[in-house]
Amino acid sequence: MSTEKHAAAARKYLKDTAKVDWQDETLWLVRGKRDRLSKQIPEWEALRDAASRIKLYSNSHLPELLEQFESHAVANGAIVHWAKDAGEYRDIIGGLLTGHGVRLFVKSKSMLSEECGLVPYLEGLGIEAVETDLGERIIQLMGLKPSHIVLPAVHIKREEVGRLFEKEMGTEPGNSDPTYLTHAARRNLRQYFLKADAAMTGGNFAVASTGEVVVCTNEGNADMGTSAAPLQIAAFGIDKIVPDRESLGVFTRLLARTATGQPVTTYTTHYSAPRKGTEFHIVIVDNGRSRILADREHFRLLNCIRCGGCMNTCPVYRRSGGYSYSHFIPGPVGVNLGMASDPDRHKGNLSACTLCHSCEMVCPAKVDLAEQIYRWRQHYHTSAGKKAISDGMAFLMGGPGRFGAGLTVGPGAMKALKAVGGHWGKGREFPDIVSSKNLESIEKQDHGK
Amino acid sequence: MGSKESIIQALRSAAPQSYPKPDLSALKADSLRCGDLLEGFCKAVAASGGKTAFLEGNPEAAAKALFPDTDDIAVVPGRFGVAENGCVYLEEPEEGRRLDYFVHEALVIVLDRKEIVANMHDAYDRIGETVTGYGIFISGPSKTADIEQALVFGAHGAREVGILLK
Ligand code: SF4
Repeated sequence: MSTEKHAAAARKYLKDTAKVDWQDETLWLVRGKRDRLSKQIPEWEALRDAASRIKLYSNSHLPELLEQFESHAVANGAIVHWAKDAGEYRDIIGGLLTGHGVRLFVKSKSMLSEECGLVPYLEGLGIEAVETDLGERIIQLMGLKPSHIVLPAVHIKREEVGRLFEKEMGTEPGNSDPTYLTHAARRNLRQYFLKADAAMTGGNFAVASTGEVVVCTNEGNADMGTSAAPLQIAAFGIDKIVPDRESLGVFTRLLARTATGQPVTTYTTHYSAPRKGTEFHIVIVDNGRSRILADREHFRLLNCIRCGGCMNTCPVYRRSGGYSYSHFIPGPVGVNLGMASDPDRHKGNLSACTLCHSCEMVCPAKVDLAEQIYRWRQHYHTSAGKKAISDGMAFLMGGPGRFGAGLTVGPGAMKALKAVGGHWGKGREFPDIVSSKNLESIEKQDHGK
Repeated sequence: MGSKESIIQALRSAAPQSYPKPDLSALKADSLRCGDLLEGFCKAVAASGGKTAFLEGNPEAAAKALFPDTDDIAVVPGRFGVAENGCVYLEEPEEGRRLDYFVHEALVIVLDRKEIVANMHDAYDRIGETVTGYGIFISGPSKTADIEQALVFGAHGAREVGILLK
């Protein structure tokens, strides 16, 4: 996370051009996989539409759905806690762990735990908290923060992992083969899974009609932890509620296809009752979400299912990296979430958008990401230069007609933008815009498939 | 006021515009269905890194034949498969031994070859709203691409997954 404005941080990031290109290509590869998978589903757009509508329904009926969830969860034998804010979240989990005499705690990836600063807090209580997702573990051992919400270590090179594991896990010096290193981590983390006193997951979805928490992962780390430990905790934000399993079907079809370009995650686990002889605690967290709900211009942010798709497609994220943003969630959704939580602290991210709207095309839950950034800019941009960029972009992108016109006059419009802009793009060229002729032929090709 | 009450009150006073619950029947009716469910399922399992075989005789012997390089194999029953993504749905194992699904080198799931649904909509229609305590969709072996996006099987769960179709 950066403490300076995105543009300033990005300028430093851009100095290592080889790494910038590598990162850009890696993310674009993931975006490409998403495209291939989505094109295999003829009803893709109808699915996105359904996802968006389900979220709008759920988020506008949260009191009923949350209470329904709670009553089912309690009937299933789970113990439900409610946390207004990050402090309560930490206290509840810290209290559960100390109350159960937990010394070793394994957790799977949860952006909510990052949001609420859980791990440093637990370490302060003398509890060893081990991240078990491979990417998260790499980041934790390096003393870093995730640079992407789904691919936390996407900015780390295999050689760096090789050197880290040599020191931490005793792997062969100089061996940076991903298979070798992954299997070393498998052996190393086994001991933690089997010894842990408690295991925690986040939640991708919480189903109101059944009281179950659904966790989607590829590695099996969440499943190993929760299947071995005598105490299980699942914590999720109130926006994770879906009304029923029928709705869940829509999201499990979209999530992995958009996130990593797979038809589904390896494991889609539905937790409702505690495992025999163990306890299952569920923590439902607000931490500012009800405030977003009350904001007419930004409540659609709560549609987000944290798939990371908007990061992989964003031309600014791909070329400025996760750490150039001041919020712990980067990319288009992170710019918006940061503004929703603390605008004064995060308004430096507002320039990290070209208003190309690619994120909105990719987003499985149809969050109006670029539109929201544009709205924030209207309130928070003061300097004349930035105003000029956002006005220029707004004019260019304001409607299909104007966007088309911009494409036709492409080079001229781009020259004008280059003259006013380049805050995040300093040292980089704006991409040459496709001519309308090219665009037509691209569209034809796409439709012809 | 307790935390629950204050959250519910904050949500009520946020008073967002009320959106109706969408009717998903048209989407579900129009969703992708492959012609031959079993063939589609087997292809999807292969794409997820798993194996399929038709079961003749003893499941333990068939499991061993599928994965001759290891003796650490769990053989468990699955309820149904999903053709669009190669998932198998499993419920709470006996005695709550959930770890069996993940901790062994190889996981072999025995499935009735007639029990395949087309997609996740059909899968959730099939389960309905019944709560059995635990349920999981598994598609292929545990995997990760956290080191430079290189796909590696055998992250933390089973390194190999086979489906025996009876
Ligand atoms: S805003 Fe949309 S694309 Fe971005 S992480 Fe959320 S759901 Fe995914």
